[in-house]
Amino acid sequence: MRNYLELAKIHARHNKRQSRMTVFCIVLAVFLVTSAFSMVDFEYMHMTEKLIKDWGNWHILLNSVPKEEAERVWEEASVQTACWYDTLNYNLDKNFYLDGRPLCIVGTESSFLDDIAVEVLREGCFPQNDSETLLSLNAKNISGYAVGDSATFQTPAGECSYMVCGFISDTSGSLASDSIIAILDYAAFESLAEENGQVREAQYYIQFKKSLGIQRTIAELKALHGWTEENVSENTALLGIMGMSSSNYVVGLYGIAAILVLLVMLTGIFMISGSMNANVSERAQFFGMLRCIGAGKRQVRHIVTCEALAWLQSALPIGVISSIIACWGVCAVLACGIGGEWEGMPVGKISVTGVSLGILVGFITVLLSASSPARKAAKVSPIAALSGNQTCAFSGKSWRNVTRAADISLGIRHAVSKKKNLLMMTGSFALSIILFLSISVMLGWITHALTTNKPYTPDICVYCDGYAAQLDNQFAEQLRNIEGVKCAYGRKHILADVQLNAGVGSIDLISYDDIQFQWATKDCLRGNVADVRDEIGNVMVVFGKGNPLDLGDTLELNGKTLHVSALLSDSPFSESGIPTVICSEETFEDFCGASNYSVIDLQLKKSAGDETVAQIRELLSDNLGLSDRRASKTEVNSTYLAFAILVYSFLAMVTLIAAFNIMNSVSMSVAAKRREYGMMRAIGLDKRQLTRMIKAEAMTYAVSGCLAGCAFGLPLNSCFYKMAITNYWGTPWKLPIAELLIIFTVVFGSSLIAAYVPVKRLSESSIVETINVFF
Amino acid sequence: MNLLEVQSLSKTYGSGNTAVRALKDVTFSVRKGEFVAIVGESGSGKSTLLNMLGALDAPTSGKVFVDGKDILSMNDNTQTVFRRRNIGFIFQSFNLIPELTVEQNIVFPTLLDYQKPDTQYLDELLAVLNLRERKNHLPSQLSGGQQQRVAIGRALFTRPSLILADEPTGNLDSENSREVIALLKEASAKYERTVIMITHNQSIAQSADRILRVSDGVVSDLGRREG
Ligand SMILES: Nc1ncnc2c1ncn2[C@@H]1O[C@H](COP(=O)(O)OP(=O)(O)OP(=O)(O)O)[C@@H](O)[C@H]1O
Ligand SMILES: [Mg+2]
Repeated sequence: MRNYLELAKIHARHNKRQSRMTVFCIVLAVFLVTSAFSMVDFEYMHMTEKLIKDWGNWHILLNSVPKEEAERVWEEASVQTACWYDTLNYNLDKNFYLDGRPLCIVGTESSFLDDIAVEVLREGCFPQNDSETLLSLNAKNISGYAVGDSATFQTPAGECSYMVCGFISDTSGSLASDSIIAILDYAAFESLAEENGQVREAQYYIQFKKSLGIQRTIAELKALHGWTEENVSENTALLGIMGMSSSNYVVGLYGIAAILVLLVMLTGIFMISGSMNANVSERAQFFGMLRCIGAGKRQVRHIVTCEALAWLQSALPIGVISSIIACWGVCAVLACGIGGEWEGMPVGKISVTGVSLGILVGFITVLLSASSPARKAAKVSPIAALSGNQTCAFSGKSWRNVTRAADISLGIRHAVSKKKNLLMMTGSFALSIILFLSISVMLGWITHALTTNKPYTPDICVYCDGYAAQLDNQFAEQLRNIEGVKCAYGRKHILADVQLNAGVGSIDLISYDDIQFQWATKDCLRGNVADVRDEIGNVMVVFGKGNPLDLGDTLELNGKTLHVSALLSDSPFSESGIPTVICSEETFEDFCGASNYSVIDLQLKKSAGDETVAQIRELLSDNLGLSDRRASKTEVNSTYLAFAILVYSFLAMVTLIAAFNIMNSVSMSVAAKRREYGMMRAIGLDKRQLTRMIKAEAMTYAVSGCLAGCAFGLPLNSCFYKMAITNYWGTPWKLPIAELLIIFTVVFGSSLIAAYVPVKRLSESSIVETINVFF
Repeated sequence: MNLLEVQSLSKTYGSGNTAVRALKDVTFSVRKGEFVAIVGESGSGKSTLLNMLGALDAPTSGKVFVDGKDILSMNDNTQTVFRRRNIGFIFQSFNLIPELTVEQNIVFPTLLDYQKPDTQYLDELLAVLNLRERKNHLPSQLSGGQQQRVAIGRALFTRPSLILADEPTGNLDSENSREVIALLKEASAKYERTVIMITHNQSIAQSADRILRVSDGVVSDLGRREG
């Protein structure tokens, strides 16, 4: 021992058991902060990569700027690369085709593939001359094109042929619309566009050299060339993720992480300083003695602070390492298990930001938590060293005859008698509840804000041009028989004029088959779906703003009456302003005559791949279209899953913090009164009575905490709910009964457990030990 | 030469009806190297007096000079440093640091003064206190008498001119009490320390150089032993 501060280290080593809770607190705080920031960091890397992949690695885009003026930006030192880009038939509404498939033609320069859309080129190279073209991969997969083949584009101005020089990747848009993308050299594109007399809106992509100060550069460029807002569009997604724009997803994520850090830090400080304060009061005699043998106030303060810092020695490594491992696990699950848009999630990386922030927060939490106990310890007067024999507040009254009611009431009185303590405990319980109630609003938010794949979401849709009713049962059967098709279900559709309750109106009448009825049962709000399926003349409607129909209404169609006998909360059809009315196929035939399907939806087996889709394509005649929804389905699914995981784990952590905070508070309060309890045992209270007394005390805190927590938490809950949900979807706030039940269970459960543990320790140790433990 | 000088020291706890006059205009002085015992009824004001001598508490009025310095008018920092270097305390309940070994407990006050412990002096002291074999033990592994001897070692190690002890044998049996007091006397004589000790034990009081009796806040000198 060289320095008096080593005492703190030695003390920490000897009191591991007492400080276990506190160390766990710090571990939890470090873990949460490191994980939150590491995950946001990984998501940032992944998003940047994905955005560059999806949107291109460009920063601004010039619209309707004269050619010479635009190309002058090359003179700017800050510009890394720039290129022209233009499209023909982007909306697929003009007559451009390749082998009957809609064709979107892109004209650009080679630097576009080299520097901006870096991951797009899959095979071959950029067109070397006017007569070469790149095609999207589906042209190779579906129509069998290969490099060197000749492709003939049908354009409104006539046919023109190009040689295929390579392939680029498909987009989920091109897959869903079953269209082909072709890339031409910019000069070839210009002449083709001219031939077709298309109005062109050439765009000029610009990528800057460095990512810092881009906003200033943009402003300077605008001023220099006199460009307006309309002339310059920013790649908000990419600029945003680089922190160069204000509103975006990643800033939001960092915001959430920052809020979490703040919550974690606050709760951590609350818990740690609470237990340290209790500990300091217990050791008043020790600090008095230190003052007597010559320690100054500052030295005492340093000793207490160092004791707290000593916990970091074990807490930091555990917290950081467990968080790194947890993050690897989550990333691996996201990247491999869920896939979709999470595929590129980095696995096995360590986020420097996350780890250093975790360590920093650990330090700050401990230092802030220690500051008040340290000051308190420094204030202890040296006289405290002499006050060896404090008298106990309980006199020699016999406890042997205490009845059950008496020990419980004693526990309650114990809890209520010390106002300051009661206030502290109530506050700490209430904090847990308020935290939980505020965060739980996010649960409602994900169900409202995120679309998820329903059981009826198809992988492939087959439809007729103009949605004419031309798909017969036999065709559906053919589709079903293809290897790899799980199920196929068709819908008949008619836009019908009906006699509604109060007048004439149109409805979309749609037929369901058995499997669709089965899925609809889950969405049934009121009424009975089976009635609609089994009885001719019964229909069901979808609840929504644009729908005037309700359960029990009737409508007249072709002189016959339809009864609304079920109300659904949701359907596969988007709201169009015309009420959707769903009936069985039998009802459909009965009312509108026999007819074929307009749409057949297919769901594929897990094992099915592109060859199944190719087989389906073979069955299609010219006037039939196919929409491949698989890619967008995975995208939706992975987004939903990731958000759900995020929200639920967030909530689980908050619940954990809440439970932990409560357990910590109760055991702290019991530990502080340990001597008193020992005295009571000495004068005759038996173990059972003591247990009941402590439990009653903990329950008192729980009840007062729940009341206070509801008083503050519910208004907050309703306020957040209105802000996040009612404002957007109109759903009114309801008392969150399920959430209240959960948090009450957590509160009462954890305070009971917390009361039980010290009671067990108390009853295990002898009376003398308990009394003497702090001498 | 007087090491300690107490001038019209008074202490009143509380005020109004509940006021307790624990010390009433106390004046006396102690010579360097004297071994003084303070005796008196319970509640007579012995501990109160001792606390004033160690500047642990502020008096209502009066002055205390140690080595010619008015310790009660110093500010907190100066008081702390003065206490660290000039006054040693021995408590009834030993008050050792439970996590430190015998040796570490003894040198701890030196560390608080940012000094390097004098190992030769430490060995010597351990020998005098008969704790050589125990120097790496923790307080919990020692008997009460041994613990109190460690406390004496700690009080002596900074070479203070004044050692204050409030019932140092209060928690010990007579055998241990005698041994501890003998050691305290021997050490204080060897290193020329002034000791002021409260005791309820008549025979221990009798062995002191001088006895002060406190009764109801008033101190009377029962005289010095010849020698
Ligand atoms: N902090 C205090 N507040 C109020 N009164 C006090 C305080 N400390 C001591 N007293 C009173 O002052 C008087 C002297 O107390 P003191 O502790 O000096 O007695 P003592 O002689 O040391 O007794 P004992 O031999 O029992 O230790 C007593 O009447 C006591 O009640
Ligand atoms: Mg006393």
